[in-house]
Amino acid sequence: MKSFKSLFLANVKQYIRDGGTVFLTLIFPIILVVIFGFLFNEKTSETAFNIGIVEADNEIYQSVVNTLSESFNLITYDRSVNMEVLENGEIDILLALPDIDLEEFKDKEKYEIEVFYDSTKENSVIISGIIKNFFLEFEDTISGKERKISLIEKSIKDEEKVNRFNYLLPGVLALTITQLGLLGSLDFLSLREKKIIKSLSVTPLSRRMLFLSELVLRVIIAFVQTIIILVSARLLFGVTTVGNPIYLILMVLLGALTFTSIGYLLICFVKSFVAGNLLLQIIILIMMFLSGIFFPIETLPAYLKPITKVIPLSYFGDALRQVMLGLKGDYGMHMNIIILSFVLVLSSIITFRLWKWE
Amino acid sequence: MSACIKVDGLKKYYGDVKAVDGISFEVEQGTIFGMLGRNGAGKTTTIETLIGLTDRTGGHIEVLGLDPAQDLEELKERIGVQLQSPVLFSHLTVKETLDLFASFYENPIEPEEVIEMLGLKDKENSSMDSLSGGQFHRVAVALAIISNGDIIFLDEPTTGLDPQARRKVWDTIARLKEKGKTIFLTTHFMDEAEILCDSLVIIDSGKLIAEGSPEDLINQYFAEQTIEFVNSNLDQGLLQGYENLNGVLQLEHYKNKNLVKLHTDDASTTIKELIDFSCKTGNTIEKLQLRKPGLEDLFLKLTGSEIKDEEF
Ligand SMILES: Nc1ncnc2c1ncn2[C@@H]1O[C@H](COP(=O)(O)OP(=O)(O)OP(=O)(O)O)[C@@H](O)[C@H]1O
Ligand SMILES: [Mg+2]
Repeated sequence: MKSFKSLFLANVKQYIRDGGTVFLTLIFPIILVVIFGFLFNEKTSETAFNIGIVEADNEIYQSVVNTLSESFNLITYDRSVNMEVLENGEIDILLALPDIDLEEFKDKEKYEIEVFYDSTKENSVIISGIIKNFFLEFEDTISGKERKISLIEKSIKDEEKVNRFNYLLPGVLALTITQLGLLGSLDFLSLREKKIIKSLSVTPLSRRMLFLSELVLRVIIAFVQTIIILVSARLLFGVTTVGNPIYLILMVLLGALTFTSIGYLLICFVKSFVAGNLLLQIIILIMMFLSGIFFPIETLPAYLKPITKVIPLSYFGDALRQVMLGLKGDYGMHMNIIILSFVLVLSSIITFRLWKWE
Repeated sequence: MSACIKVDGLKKYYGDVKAVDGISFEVEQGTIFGMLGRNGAGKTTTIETLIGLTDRTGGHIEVLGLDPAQDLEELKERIGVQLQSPVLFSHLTVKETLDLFASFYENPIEPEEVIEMLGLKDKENSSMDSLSGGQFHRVAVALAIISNGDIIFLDEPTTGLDPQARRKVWDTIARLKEKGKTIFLTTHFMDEAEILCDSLVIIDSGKLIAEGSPEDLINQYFAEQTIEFVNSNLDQGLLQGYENLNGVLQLEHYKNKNLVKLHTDDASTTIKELIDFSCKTGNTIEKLQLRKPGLEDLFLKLTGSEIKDEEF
């Protein structure tokens, strides 16, 4: 333990004092945020969202309808409304509100509010995710329950932007962590190439410690990067994300571990730092374009779609999108977690088999 | 006294290169053991197999009763190693590097003590990549010593050091011996080996070609000594007279410098008779000196010159 602590501190010092690396790992995410922010951060006012509501005249809905109307255009329909209004883009989503009697509310098991949306339309998808939070708050109000964790619904009241950039932000985070994880293994390659490992291995320090301290450093940097991305997106473009921060932390952890272990697996196949760097850059590029983290999968040619399905970044990006925006993703959350964990375990096992210390 | 390193028929081949080709020796506990040999003779390779950094092609090794190929973990706890050209964290300071390495051992020597031993006090807060070659090398030696191991392996501990720093390292090595440590070192400096080592081996092309204490080796290979002097009035008769002195095995005459070299196997008799002879003939000799062969001569004799190399 003593040797782990001092080795870890040595790693941190080596990392921090090497100005260039710090600059790249910390500045890179900000650059990504800035680029995407300028490209896609359109103002909400220009793209007003239209929400259709069925049966909104019930007293009980008054507060939620008021809140919604502050941010969206509300159009009321009666029960005979046709789904065409969604398809032709007249509205982005349609809420079918059931009749709720306040007296019966406590006894009745559950109420269902149907949210109709068009999964091929981006606005539709975004709003359908966000709308949930209104009703969570709404339920709390009428049931008188108090929440310990307050969500960020407020931000929508404050007319925060929900736009394409918001939609892309999880992709930016996913890419950054993927890059960190994959390229992190290069540090090991350079340690190996520079023979620091050889010099350390004449001491009783176990190689597992060496590995572990590298890994812990990676994970910590991943969290620092996450904070940088979220904070810079907020400060520069006023973008906030909804979602449970604990899930976000867990997801970032899983992603950092998975991509770090993929990185270590990949460098088993190369001998030098230069070759490793090239290989990893190519793989990052491929993953970036084919994973659907920035470009909707639908826009890819059909023959590329199966590739998307075998790229771990697809699942990581999708998972982050769900966790950060509360949107429904391309894959189920369970599937995302299972696939990422599976890749983590598998690549770790293969890496242990193939690993060469010298 | 017992042997703490036993090597028997050690072989290490890199493909066709027989880096170490069947060497055997033992190192007594508490002594300073030196390994000499030309560049590429196989010294580093031998050390690296002893400390388990490289696996061996064949032969038997026992270090502190352990086989480095099997009990490496335990062995590493009990030895300190200075590699010939180690690489360390470039952005750590000297003190931080020593603290780091100290933390790897159960019972290390205090970093301050080692810093003082090797005269690194004024550099302790400098980062490793700002050190001069010799300073860096001293840190490498310090890292071996900090282990407080029973055996300290030093692969060319004084290469690149200035004379003061060399003396410091010699003092340090002598102090380690006083503490009961065994020191295994390699060197290209014959004076170093002669002064420090209790016993040594000379290897050449992976084979052991001589072993013993420095004195034994010299006596064994050089029974003869050389008497040199200058005489500006040399003639054939005089030279004949010198050659007939007792003990003289061979006479060399360098005409241009009027220099005479007498190789003798009984230096004291030859010198006495030379002086008597000079007085008798009224012939003055100048710049008289007795040259005793050193380890360097032995080394050159055993490992051959470049010319000998070409014959192979
Ligand atoms: N990894 C390796 N692969 C191939 N050959 C090697 C390797 N390591 C050493 N050798 C060869 O083994 C021989 C012995 O090398 P070694 O480093 O042991 O010499 P040395 O006695 O330490 O020399 P020096 O005085 O220059 O340090 C050399 O011919 C060298 O080229
Ligand atoms: Mg060597």
